[in-house]
Amino acid sequence: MFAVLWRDANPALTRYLRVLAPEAAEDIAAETWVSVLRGLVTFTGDETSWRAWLFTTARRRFLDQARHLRRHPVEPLDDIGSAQVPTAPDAAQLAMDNIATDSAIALLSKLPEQQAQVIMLRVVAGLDTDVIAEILGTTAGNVRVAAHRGLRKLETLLSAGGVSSRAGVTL
Amino acid sequence: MSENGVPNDDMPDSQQPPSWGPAYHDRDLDALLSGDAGNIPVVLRPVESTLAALRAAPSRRELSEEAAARAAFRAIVQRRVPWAPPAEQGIVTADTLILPPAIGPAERLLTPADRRTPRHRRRRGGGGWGGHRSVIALTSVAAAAVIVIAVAVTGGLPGSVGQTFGGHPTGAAASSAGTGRTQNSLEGTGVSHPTPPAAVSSAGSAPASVSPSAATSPTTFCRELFEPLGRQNRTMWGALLRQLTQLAGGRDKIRSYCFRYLSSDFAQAPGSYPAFPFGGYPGGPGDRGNNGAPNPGSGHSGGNQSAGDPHPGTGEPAPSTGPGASAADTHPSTDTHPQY
Repeated sequence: MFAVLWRDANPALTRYLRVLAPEAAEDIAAETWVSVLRGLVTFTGDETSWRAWLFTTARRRFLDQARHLRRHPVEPLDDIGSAQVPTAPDAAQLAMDNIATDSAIALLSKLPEQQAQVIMLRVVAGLDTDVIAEILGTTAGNVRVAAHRGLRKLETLLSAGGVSSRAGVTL
Repeated sequence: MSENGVPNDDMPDSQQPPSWGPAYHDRDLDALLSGDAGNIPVVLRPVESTLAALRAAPSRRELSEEAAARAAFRAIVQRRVPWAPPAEQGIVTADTLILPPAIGPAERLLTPADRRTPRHRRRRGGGGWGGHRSVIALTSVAAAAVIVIAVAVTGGLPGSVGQTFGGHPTGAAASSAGTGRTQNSLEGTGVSHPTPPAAVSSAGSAPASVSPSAATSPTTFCRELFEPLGRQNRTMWGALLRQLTQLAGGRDKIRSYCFRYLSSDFAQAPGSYPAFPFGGYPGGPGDRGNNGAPNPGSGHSGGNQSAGDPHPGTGEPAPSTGPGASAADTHPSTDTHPQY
């Protein structure tokens, strides 16, 4: 049973966390599962409730991890010059060249956090607006506005890479 | 024609080029979010492709840690360790230090010590052994108070307790006479005739509340009542008098009541028995008799001394008590307590 749940939910959970915290997504996902397993025996609800609970826990673990990083910031031992930083192609170009999951996640990471969370919870987790509003502690209207703004921002990012066009008109 | 010579319907301003207006609407965005991308504008095709990539099937890499997750699941369910290191991944060597994940305080596995209520929230004296201890302490204090009051009222400790702490001979006699089990083991309880066992006495009509030593027999009461006043204080004597008054059915019946029990004593040593305290009995009031004679441990001054009992103080019954033994042995009321 647990394997079924894990196979079903863990990819979406990992992707969601990779948008929020690309560096610590795997760790937060593991902590999320630990937290969920402790309360799994007492959980009651349908599939939507299960997914809402899982992603709510994941978001809380993400907030805990972010809080921990703020209290204990990680500083590199050696400064790396900007010339030595490995460069990658533009995220939008990557998304167009290879619409892969990693590229899409990297593209969504450029969005504001709330907009990215809303889009991921809506698209990846499959939750509706009301549930997302409950998870994020806001209203359904704000969730809808954030989703639209995020999609517009995403479209702008893709367009900025010369990918998109407006009815055939190149910007 | 207008004033510029251009017809009004030649360049209608209601028609805008496609790039001027919004290329998509909110309903298109909602369709993107819901996955219904059938009629979305072309401009949103890249976005639709990006979202489709997010919904793609899980890759092999994303499912590679299933074994570790299962191991963690088993460990957590069995409550052995809070988190199992991902040994199945093959990346953990003996030199690798595995630290548990930073779990929040609310997510830690609670130990029994953690489950206890904080000290400042515990109820004082509520339940558990704390309540039992307080009850036991109160009971002990109450029992001690009762003992002190009893000693104050009676003027001495009853029975063997009185002998131990106060050296009162009559108390020892009363205790030994009432309990046949300890009768042979006590010294100086020179009872010349068999005394009824405690069972017989307790089966009688005398209520348990009559005396503090309910196991004692009427014979003992009568002997103690006729004990020389120099050996007992008036408080104890008054208590005995009240007890015998209840047993005999009245104060004026005490003499006849005790006479039945003590007739053998009078028969064997008629002149040596102490005076009846409130007069009218042979010897008369104030007759102290030989109350000044040392009588260590004996219930009375007669009996063993005059009979030359070879086992002084053992309380052995009749065979060696001399001439009064027959009367004592045949005393009917020692075995059957009179019903009053």
